[in-house]
Amino acid sequence: MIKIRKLKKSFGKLEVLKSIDLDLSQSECIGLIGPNGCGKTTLFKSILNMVIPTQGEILVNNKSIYGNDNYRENIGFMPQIGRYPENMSIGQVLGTLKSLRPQTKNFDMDLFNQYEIPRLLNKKMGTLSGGTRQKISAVLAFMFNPAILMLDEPTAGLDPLSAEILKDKIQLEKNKGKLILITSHLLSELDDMVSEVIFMQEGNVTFHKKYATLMLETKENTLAKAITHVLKAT
Amino acid sequence: MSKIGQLVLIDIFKNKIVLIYAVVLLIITWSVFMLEDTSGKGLLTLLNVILLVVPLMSLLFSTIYLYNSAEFIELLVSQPVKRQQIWLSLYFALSLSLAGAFVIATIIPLLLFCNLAQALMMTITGFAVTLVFISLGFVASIISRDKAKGIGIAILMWLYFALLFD
Repeated sequence: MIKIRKLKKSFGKLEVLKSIDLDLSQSECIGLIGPNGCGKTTLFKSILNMVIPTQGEILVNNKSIYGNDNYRENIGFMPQIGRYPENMSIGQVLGTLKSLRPQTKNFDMDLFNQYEIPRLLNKKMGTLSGGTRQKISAVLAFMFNPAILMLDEPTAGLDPLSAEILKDKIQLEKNKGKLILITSHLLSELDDMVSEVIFMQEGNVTFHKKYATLMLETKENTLAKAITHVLKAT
Repeated sequence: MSKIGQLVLIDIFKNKIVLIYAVVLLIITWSVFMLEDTSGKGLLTLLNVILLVVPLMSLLFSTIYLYNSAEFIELLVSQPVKRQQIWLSLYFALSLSLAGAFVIATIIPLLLFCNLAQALMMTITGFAVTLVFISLGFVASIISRDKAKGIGIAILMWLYFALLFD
């Protein structure tokens, strides 16, 4: 579904991505992990065409993403920090975003209802807590039924119950055949969600493996231990 | 007008600062014409207001507004919309509110105290100055990701254009 070919990006002298090649296919939930500053967010932003790469290209559904804005109809993005116009109500923001995607007919209102957003529709964005804003970001990412979901630290700031709802939703969508990309620092949380793992270090992809293969190779039973194992071995 | 523009416009109006700006301009315009004995002197004072206050307001308001909406703009960019549309909507919404506030506040006293040519001249100048400085505000906020630096650049621009250039 997403093909990344020889992607390079540098900000001035700093090389953030050093020739990345990845093939991401549907019905997978992929955990993108790595230390801070390894280029995870830059990779995310490259796929969304928010960052223009120095070299290389990205194909979504076998079409290059450059000079083509409509491919983003297939993508639901949940940013790490969601901030919205302070004086607008939740309802107004949801309405505006809906109007930007007129092609969508079947809205996915699961999270909208589970997070009890209907009760909050008239609340102003500026008065919401960080966690509630995070919920709105999640609702927006899932609402348009996109084939690809990109979640940047989705559970950061959510209370345990809401995080659990989100995790269940992610499982459900994966089983429907969607491609889900998650970055997270909470490896324990990824254990019961991901089917593939991409580990990045200093702008390179150290490995991209099936979760089961990784566990088998390292003879560990959690992601955190497996990663430590790999890091010690090198 | 696009939905993004409408949302930004409502957001700016609910912010109330633009309304206060309009009221302040209205008071200034009325008082300069009431206090000065000839309309010529009043026009001169008003011209100073246009050359100093209007640029400062347009520049700072648009710069700070853009910095505050950075994350929202990022979310909009992740939607299937052209970037051009996002920026144009922001620009139109900001221009419409600030230039609108200026025109509404000054047009009535101007028409009452001056002749039509003078009134039109002042209104068009103020309108144009607002648009130009909103554009500069966009430039300032795009140059740097650092808010303090961006606002610093905006203030320096104002010093250069409003004080030195004049």
